[in-house]
Amino acid sequence: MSNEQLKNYFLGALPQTEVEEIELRVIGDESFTETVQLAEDDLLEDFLEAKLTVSENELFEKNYLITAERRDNLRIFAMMKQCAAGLTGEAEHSSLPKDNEVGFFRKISNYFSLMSRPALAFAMLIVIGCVVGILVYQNQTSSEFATLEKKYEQINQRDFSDLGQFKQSSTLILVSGNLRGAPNSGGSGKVSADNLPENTLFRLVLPPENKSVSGYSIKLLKDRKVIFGLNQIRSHDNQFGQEIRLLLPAEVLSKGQYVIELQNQQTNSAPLSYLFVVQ
Amino acid sequence: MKKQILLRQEDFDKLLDWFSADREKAGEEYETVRRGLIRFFLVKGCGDSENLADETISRVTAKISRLDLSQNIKPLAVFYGFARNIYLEQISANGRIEKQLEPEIDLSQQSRQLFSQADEFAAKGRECLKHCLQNLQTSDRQIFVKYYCTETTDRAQSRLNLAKEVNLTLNNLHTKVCRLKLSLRDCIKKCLNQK
Repeated sequence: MSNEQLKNYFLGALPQTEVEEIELRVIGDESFTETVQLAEDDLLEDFLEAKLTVSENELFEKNYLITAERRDNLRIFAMMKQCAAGLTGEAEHSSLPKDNEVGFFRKISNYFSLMSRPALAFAMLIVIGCVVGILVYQNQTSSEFATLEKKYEQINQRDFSDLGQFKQSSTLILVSGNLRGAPNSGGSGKVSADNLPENTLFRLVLPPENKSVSGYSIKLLKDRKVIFGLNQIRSHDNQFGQEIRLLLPAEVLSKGQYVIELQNQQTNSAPLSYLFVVQ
Repeated sequence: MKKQILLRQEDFDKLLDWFSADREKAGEEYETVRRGLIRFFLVKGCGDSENLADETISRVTAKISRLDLSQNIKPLAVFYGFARNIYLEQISANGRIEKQLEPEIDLSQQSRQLFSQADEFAAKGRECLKHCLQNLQTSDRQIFVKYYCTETTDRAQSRLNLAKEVNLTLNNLHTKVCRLKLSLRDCIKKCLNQK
């Protein structure tokens, strides 16, 4: 039973005969159940990291998040992942051996054994050539990137205190990935590409314990590629705590899955991820 | 959803006979089937998996006189059929309850309500998670943290590296983390219920 089949099982995308085969094995075989649970974990991670396709995302919300237990599990799982990310420093200082602890002489000997093989040395030359090519390409694109950042920075320099001024814009309120799947969440985090106004206001809800007012930076990612980033953003009060307000023009939003990564540079806390889909 | 089922001793005896003529073996088989049903309901995302497994066994027992047990019908297949029906009833009942509870409010109000619920849940949940993580052994906590903190694009490769670091096969690492996660989840749920 492949991981892909099990993923499709949870997404409700398998024929009935295969569903029955899996479920009968779950009842009869304890070790198989662990395999199934691992596939479920992978699916949850893919969802939280916005690695599902648009159609998989729809199936996930329609067929997977159908019980309160699963929605609670998703939230707990997201918290576990976020907390694990916050504890990385602790793990890094652990007694577990690290990759960079491989001996110096071992590295030297590996290097020379590599150079003594002509085919590998030739392959290294090709790799070096590719790296140079990428650097040249990046140099060209970085100037376009800077222009974009400057433009969006200007748009977001306005005063966002009065929400009344954004009546002409569409508004999307987003909760960080660790809070997704809350009851009645269906429909949030989606915008239609056909009806996008000139600008869309994104309101990113901050955790209740949040105290910082300024020093936020955001990155907008599509398919794990950074589209642009902004610094020195401040938070705004709302009825329940604080939120970040961000204005994105329609030209930057094409169909696909997006993640807004938000970090407070002053507190250096773990980044929060806000997911949304343009359909 | 739950129906009151009155079980007769003769039906229960018949069920055990169906499992095995030997009562001890029949008892073991009964427990095996029950555990399997609990796993089924867990995988289907049902919260009350133990009660639903017992409900399934009760319904099969109540209807055992009407089942044709003479042929090579596997008990698992019969229990599965009943379990699936109970799952479908559960889903449709929950759907009805959620629909009844759905308030008729505008979208912005609904969003705010969602945020306040979610924020409250997250704040309590984080406290519980910290508490539960501290209950783990240090080595287990470190494995858990490294396993779920893979910000790389290649999740599979980073987990393979971790398995090498801790001298486990990849399968054993997955199993270990899966069990850690389940114990953490149970701990968090208990903690949330107490708050």
